[in-house]
Amino acid sequence: MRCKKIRELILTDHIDGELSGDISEKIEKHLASCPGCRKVKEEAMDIAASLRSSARIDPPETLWKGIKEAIEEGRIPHENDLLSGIRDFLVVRRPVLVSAAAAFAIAAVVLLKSYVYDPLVLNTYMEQQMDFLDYLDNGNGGADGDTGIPFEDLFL
Amino acid sequence: MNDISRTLIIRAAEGDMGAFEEIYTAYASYVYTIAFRITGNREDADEAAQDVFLNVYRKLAGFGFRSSFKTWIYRITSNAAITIYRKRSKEKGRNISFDETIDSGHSIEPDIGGIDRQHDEKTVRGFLWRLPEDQRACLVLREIEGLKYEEIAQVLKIKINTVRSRLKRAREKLIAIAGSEGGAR
Ligand SMILES: [Zn+2]
Repeated sequence: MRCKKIRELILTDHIDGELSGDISEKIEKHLASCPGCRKVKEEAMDIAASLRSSARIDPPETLWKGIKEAIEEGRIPHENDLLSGIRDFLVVRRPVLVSAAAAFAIAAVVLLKSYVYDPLVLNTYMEQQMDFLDYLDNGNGGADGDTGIPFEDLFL
Repeated sequence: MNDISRTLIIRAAEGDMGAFEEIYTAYASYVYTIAFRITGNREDADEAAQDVFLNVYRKLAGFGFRSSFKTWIYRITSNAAITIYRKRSKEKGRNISFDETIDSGHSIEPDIGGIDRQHDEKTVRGFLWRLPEDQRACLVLREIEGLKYEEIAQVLKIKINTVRSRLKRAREKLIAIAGSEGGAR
């Protein structure tokens, strides 16, 4: 391996312990015979050591008080009811998928309300569906995909 | 750091304030450290950390146990801190500098103190505030929180190769800075 590639690895996977033994060995071997790369490693290790030994910072005592007050005064509702989850979910959608998302969300409520009672189970399910929509949203298909079926119809 | 128990999360999600306080206690210093290292000062770290825990409270029931709780809370924290940092940068113009002074009181670990410690702290801040915030967040998660590349990628929702290139650029820059200032320490 050449110095350029070696240095890239030194500044990343090597000093972060992300390499397999095989490549690590090759790097060590190179370092033994290359003062330039050794210097890069030393400098990188010095900086890493400063950062790694830096102090953990505790929050001020008042932080918890403020959080607790905000919650107890009812300013921060739990989003454990289905409707607020859906509202949130719709707000972040891109416009093109909103109607599909709404249709899907309503379908999900209708389908699920009858037999899922555990909000955590339900939320997991909703999250999985959101990920699926994200997947579509990221250009992997979706409303203008080539199935020929309107997106909404897949769910209704 | 160990992930806290599922039962505790469920209890907190059902509105048990005692359980939520246990979660707060378990994570407060991690959240606060990341927030402080990314925003660079206590005032913004306070705001970010408060946002984080209110968000956690709000979204607990939707957590879903698909990622580890730690990853989830680190993600909320990084987002909050970067958002506040960007807001502040916009308000104040391009260069906002990190606090040069170290707050007295509870900011330093009790087992290390004295002039060396203060000097190290100054070095760390000097390093971090000269990096763009996306590189800084990667470096903080890697060096201070000890996360693996895979975990950093999940927390910041970026590809592992993006984690790599941000760390590489951050370290190249810091090496250059340390060199031009006659050494890091
Ligand atoms: Zn070399």
